[in-house]
Amino acid sequence: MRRLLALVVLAGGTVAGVYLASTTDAPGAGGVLRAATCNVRVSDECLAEYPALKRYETVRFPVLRDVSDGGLSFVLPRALAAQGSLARECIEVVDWSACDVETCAVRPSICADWDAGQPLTRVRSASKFVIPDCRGADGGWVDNHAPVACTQLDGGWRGCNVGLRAERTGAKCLDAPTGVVYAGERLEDSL
Amino acid sequence: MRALALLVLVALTAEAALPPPGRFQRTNRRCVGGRSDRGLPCDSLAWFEFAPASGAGLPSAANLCDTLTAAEKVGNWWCLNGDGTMASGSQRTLSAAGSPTPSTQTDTYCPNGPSCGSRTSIRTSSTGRYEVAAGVTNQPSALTACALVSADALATTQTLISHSDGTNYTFTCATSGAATATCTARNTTPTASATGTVTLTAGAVHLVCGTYATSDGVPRIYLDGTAGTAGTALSPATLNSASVNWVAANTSAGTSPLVGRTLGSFVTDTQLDATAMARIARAVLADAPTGARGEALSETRASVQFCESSDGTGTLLPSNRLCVTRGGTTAAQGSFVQSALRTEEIDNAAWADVGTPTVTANSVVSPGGTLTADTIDDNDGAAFEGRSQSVTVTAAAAYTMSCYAKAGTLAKVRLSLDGTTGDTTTLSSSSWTRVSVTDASTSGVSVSAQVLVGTATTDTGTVYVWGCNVTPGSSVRPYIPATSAAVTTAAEVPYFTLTSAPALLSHEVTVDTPAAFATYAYFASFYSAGANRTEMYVGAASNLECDFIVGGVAYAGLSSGAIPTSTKGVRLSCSYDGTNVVACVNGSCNSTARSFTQFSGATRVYVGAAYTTGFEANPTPVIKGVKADPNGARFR
Repeated sequence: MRRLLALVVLAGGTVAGVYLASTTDAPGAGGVLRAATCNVRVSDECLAEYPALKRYETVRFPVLRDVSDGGLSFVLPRALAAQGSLARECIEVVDWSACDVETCAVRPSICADWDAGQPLTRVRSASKFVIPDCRGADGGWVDNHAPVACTQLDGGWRGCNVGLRAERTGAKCLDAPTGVVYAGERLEDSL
Repeated sequence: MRALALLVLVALTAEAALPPPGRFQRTNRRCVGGRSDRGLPCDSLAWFEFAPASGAGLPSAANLCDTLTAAEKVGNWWCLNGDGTMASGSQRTLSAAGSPTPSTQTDTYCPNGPSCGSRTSIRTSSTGRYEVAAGVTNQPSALTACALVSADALATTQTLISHSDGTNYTFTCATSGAATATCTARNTTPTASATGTVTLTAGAVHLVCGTYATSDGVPRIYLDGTAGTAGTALSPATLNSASVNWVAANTSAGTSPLVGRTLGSFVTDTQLDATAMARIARAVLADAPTGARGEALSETRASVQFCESSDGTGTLLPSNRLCVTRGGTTAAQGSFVQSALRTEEIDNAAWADVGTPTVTANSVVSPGGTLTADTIDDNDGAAFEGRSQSVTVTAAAAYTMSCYAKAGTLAKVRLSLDGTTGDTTTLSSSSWTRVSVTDASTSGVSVSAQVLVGTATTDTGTVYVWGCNVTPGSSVRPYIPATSAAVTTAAEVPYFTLTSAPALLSHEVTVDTPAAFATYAYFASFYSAGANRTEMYVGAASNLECDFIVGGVAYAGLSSGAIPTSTKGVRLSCSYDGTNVVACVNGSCNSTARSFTQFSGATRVYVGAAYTTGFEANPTPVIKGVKADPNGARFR
């Protein structure tokens, strides 16, 4: 029961979980290799270590997709599972149910990184989310900015707020690295 | 010989005059409630208690000016109270200046503790500020400047406290963008400056302090008593000698005002150290409640949360601070996604018009003390008017929409979530009501959340609205603010640290119960290690389950009946008398024969939580108090 509850919490309603691979895990053993594209939150330590990173990023990496126990779980790459791995401490997937999971035929180079020391690839343009460019002249964010060219498909203006890429259009749409942030944090700081 | 005998007698007499603690000098008495004091102080406390009736361990927030010791009032020190008066003995007097002059605002201020007292704070607007008379020049060799503030928003540079004439400054603390504050010192040139930085939370009450001393030339900054990133050393270290004034919540030129409120500020001509900074912060924020005997509270929650007190007002808490009010603490929250955007900006384009309402932004002080609540005016007697937002949810799941509302000219409001409506017809005009509606099963992944003025199309008038949330489940959860994106909360884990715990045989939790229970929702867990713990939680039949887990083996007992729902002050107890595990609900007990030896050395008491995440309660009971004692018959 404890395990089941933990899985539900992780996936926000979808029965799915994430388990770190042991050294005996390998592609084909306990799952099928896939390429996942996920919105992730970067830890304080990694923000300090890698100044180019923002608090929220969109990254692509190989996973094992496993349905053997009746649920759905993802196994992270071996390099991420290694104790002391910086990358393992770096990222936290915001919502696994919102990840895109593709076959290795579609993303062979990603799957090939299963054993790579750094299996994460930054792919902001692959995020499902966009946000209007509401930066002012000084680069600061203006919450009540006048409408810019990033509207709903029907032309409606939803303000300087995140939305699904599939529902927005316009040249002034910025890649939003996530659609959900931790309470108290700002998406604008990660643009 | 006679002299020797006299000496021995004197020695014996002297020994007899010494204070106890010999066992024969001790006498047992009866304390209040009839319990033997066992020779110990008669305070009636159990071995462990959280939130006893006496309020022990629950601090009240102190007035900032009352926290300075005599030794800390140095040179031209001054302290400005939240009502604009100066603290007695201040060597400088700050006066209201500018136009419009600052206004004052009275709120309930209770970040933690039993006394949610009314506090007056200064709300700065436009050029309004408090400053000393012009012409005061003093360039101390050391200084400390503190401001107890809450910023409504942090998008622009806002002055908290400044030693400046508007052009030149010596030392200034200000917000420095979306989520940070800096304290900056400038030297004699005056071209060089150095800055220390901390991270702020908009809407939360923060104590921001800066210090400087020419002995090392390093500007330092403290947020809530914790040192932030210090600046680099100035060289030369002597401060700018331009004519400067101390100004609270603005600059003396009337630019960069604080958009928020100041609950107090002070300056003293000495560099207070980290210990003093921490002491003052704990006193004014009252953010370190303990067990009744001083047991330290630890809270892990990597996200902000609004902490509501019993009168509907509250305080936005930064990360890692447990919501403890005079009403107790809510059971630990699990992680959940709050889907509504712009929860405090009903005027934002994230919300669309329903009809043709007039929305006036930031027109009323919110439950959190910020000037961020909006007015919605419905002047159409033939149709509903209000605001609507499309929110992203999980399909075919229960969701609850909630808003804080207050009557303007109309005491009625309707919420509509995915077509399910909930009406409130008795809004107060003096206090906030949290209104809600639950959609039992969402129709898709995108649903409409509406807040409408009135409960019939013929209604017209104004209502005030703030803090609209859409959260999973059938009950209202703690309010979570959001701006441009949906937010997720981190699961929280609160616990007290115990030392030298005896074998605890009797445990009691008092709760205000919700309308329904989640099975396995925890009331408390007394933990030594994973294999040794005592747990109190909701059993499969909504009854109380008591698990005494010793060496990995569970010795369970169940109450005979279900825990009453929607009831205040329900007493739940789990005890072991050496023969039976006894589970009691409001004194009605059920015994289950068990044989084990209870462990000693519990190191933690989890309050409203298990020893690990994943067992949070939703709906959420309010934990009014927790007790544990080695006397197995103490709580029944």
